[in-house]
Amino acid sequence: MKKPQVLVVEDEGIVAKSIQNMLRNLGYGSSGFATSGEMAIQKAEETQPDLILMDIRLKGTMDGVEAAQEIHRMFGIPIVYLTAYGDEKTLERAKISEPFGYLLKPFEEQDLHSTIEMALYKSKMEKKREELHRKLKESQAQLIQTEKMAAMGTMTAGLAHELNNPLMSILNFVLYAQKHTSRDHRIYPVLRDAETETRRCVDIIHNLLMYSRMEGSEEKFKKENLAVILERILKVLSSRIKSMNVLITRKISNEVPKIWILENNLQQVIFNIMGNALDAVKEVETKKVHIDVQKKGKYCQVLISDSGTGIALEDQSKIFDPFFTTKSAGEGTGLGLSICQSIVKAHGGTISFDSKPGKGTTFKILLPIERRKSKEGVENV
Amino acid sequence: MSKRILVIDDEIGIRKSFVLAFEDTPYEVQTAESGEKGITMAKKSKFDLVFLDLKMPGMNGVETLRELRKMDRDVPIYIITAFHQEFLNQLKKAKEDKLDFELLQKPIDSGKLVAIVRAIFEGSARY
Repeated sequence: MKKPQVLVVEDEGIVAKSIQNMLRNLGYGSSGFATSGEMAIQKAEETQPDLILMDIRLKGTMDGVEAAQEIHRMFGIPIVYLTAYGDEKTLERAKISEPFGYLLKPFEEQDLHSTIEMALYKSKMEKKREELHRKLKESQAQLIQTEKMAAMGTMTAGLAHELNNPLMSILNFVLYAQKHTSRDHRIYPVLRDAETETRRCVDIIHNLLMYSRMEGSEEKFKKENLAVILERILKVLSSRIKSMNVLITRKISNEVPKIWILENNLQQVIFNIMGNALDAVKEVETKKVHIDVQKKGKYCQVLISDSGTGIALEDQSKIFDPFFTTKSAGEGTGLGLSICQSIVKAHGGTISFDSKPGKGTTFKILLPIERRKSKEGVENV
Repeated sequence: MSKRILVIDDEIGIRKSFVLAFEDTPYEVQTAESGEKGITMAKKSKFDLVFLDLKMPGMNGVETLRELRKMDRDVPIYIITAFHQEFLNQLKKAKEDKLDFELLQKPIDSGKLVAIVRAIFEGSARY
């Protein structure tokens, strides 16, 4: 193990030298020494020592306690005070800066050794404790987030259900008015717009429901062949593929076994990503989408690569966020990929992507081949 | 005699939607704002098709379905719903009890409604 590096802050040259000698004898490394508080801070920043021995009385505008507080705050380096003054007042001030040790001058090599070791140990423990605390905070935040999402899901579902009734009424009233309006009447196009907008609401609510329904999905896991699902989706998309003149290539390995999936949900995932791929190649010269399915260890891997515009770098961290969309109003709700992610997670899988703006995007879905135990462990056998 | 449709839904907008949708068709639409009212109407005269809401004050859709089936085992019954989670088990139970019904998801537009009804009554969509 690397020997601990110690910085000595002491304004008396002779004392500093003698302490450094002691340190060398005890087997510690030296980060040099400083003679003032300001210099100590600078040295601490430059050398990042494991420990600082700090004289309390220092020449200059800053004394040892101030320097120690600053260093501890900025770099978290443990500090041991060295002082000839054992008076209450100094001690009180020193205590506030939470020192890792306190040595009264003059001291023996032995005292220095034990104080440094103790301080290093305490510092190590403190760092561990902080790390644990940070992790705890993190998982707590995650838990809160999960609960928030669950609560939001319930609320969304309730709201969406309630809205479906009035929406159905509005839609049918508009259709009725349309039916009884002559096509060349100036009201007619307005009614058409009203219909379009109402249907948009219907779509949004449909997506919201899909999104909130991910947890406790009503669909059951079935053992299915991904290739069959892919073919089905390509068939559904075939007219769009043809009219856009997109070259679809596929490589589906024979090794891929049937896997346990929520068929409709997963179909939605692939449909969504295929749809995005087609959107991405809309504006580019070479319109290509490649599908690759193969076995990867315990997983079945689906790659969907397009030769499209790619995802802008600044958007890449946001694409799975609910309601994030780059599509114009009416073309996307911003829920598609968010839903995809929920579905893939429900399968115990992962979804990720690699995108180069101007070159294209590849989405990677990994689905476990072995069936995933549900939370209750009682899912259909 | 023209085919008669009974719509049971507590929402006036939904009942009106049905009335308007079938206005120029050869089918007659009657509406009830509750399960209880719907059952009374069905007792009085025979209907050829029933659209039934799930979530209603008083008797809910599943309870109404059970009563309607006691009177008539064959009339097609469409449960139109926004799929309320709380009725899912009751619906499952009804299926297990061999009560016949179909599910339709709200919102549904007049075009589809008419197409469905036409398919039931005429076996085709030629209207």
